Amino acid sequence: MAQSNVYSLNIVGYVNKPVLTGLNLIANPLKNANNNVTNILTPPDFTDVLKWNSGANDFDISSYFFGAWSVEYDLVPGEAFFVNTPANFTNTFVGEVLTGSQTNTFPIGLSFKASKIPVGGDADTLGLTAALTDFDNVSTFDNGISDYVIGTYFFGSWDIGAPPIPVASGVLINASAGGNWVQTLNP
Amino acid sequence: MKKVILTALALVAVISAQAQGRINFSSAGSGVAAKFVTSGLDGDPLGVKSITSADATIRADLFWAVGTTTVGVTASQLTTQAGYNQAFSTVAAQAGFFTGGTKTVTGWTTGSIVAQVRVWDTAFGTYDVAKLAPGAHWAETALFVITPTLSPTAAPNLVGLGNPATYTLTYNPVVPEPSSMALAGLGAAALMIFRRRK
Repeated sequence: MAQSNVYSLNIVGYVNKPVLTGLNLIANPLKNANNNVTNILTPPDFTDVLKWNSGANDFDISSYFFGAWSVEYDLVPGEAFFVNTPANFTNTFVGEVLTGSQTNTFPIGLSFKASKIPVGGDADTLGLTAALTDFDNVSTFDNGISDYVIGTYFFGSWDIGAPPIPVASGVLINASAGGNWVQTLNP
Repeated sequence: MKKVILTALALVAVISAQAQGRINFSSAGSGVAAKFVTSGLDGDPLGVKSITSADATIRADLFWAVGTTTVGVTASQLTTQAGYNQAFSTVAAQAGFFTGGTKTVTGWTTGSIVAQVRVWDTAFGTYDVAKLAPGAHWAETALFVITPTLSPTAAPNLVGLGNPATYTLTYNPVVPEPSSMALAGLGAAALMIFRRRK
């Protein structure tokens, strides 16, 4: 029986992200046909996801327990969210790598963002710094102290060095003007 | 001068608008797993079950007062009602829990509060009224201390509710009124007379 080979034009893969007890600022690094929280995260019972709602200037919270999420929402590549978990676990993100030129637009004020491509680095190497204005803040989140580590960019450099952005991690941007974080990945 | 005053007022307004303490008003989440059930006792028409959104008038709310400890504090001192009017879960597997998400603690300015979650059948009115009303369900949790946070810090969970914990709603039995008893007595007497004549 004749059988034709099937080729995928997309790069697919997975990323294992360790999530520690307490608060973690993470992100989904891979695109899926369905990026809803049920499809993206497999946490222990009584884990919360806090997704930023820019309209309300606050978080929308969904809790996972007894096999279901209390609220369903999408977690797409490029946006960061908090996971508050009672136990360590490793989340395996599975999906398609976004390629070509990717633009992540951020507004004036607060926004939770992440790299749209599954690459780790820092604000400089991942191209975020180039999109910022003087005195913008980029904060990472330290699970150990359960607080933000705030970096300020001004006059061409960072006060505490370029904020690190490991793969599948996110940052809080406090911008004085909107901007476009552009990244390019050409396989 | 007028400009300075207006600027100052605007600044105060901005600061006031930003000083919105928040909590995660949920009985399920990291560090908290508190379930609300009925006992089926005293003729409770709901029987033994976990509260769900189908029990539409049974709602949860937060009552609080400023404080840093529960020692020496009684529930009657928690006079500020948050007004969340939170329904229970619509997910069958999550019956008994409510997940209200981020809620503002209106009136909070700084520091900790002593709080209590009260659940009651709002069809009977306020919590205090329902607590005494025949046919009403109600429950109140232990007192706990929580510190609301400002955005964009994550809103704290109600870990003081317990993990795990089960709260059983009290059902106030419906006692027949004297007039009803008298009517029933008259009916019985009439029946006896009717039988004798036969």
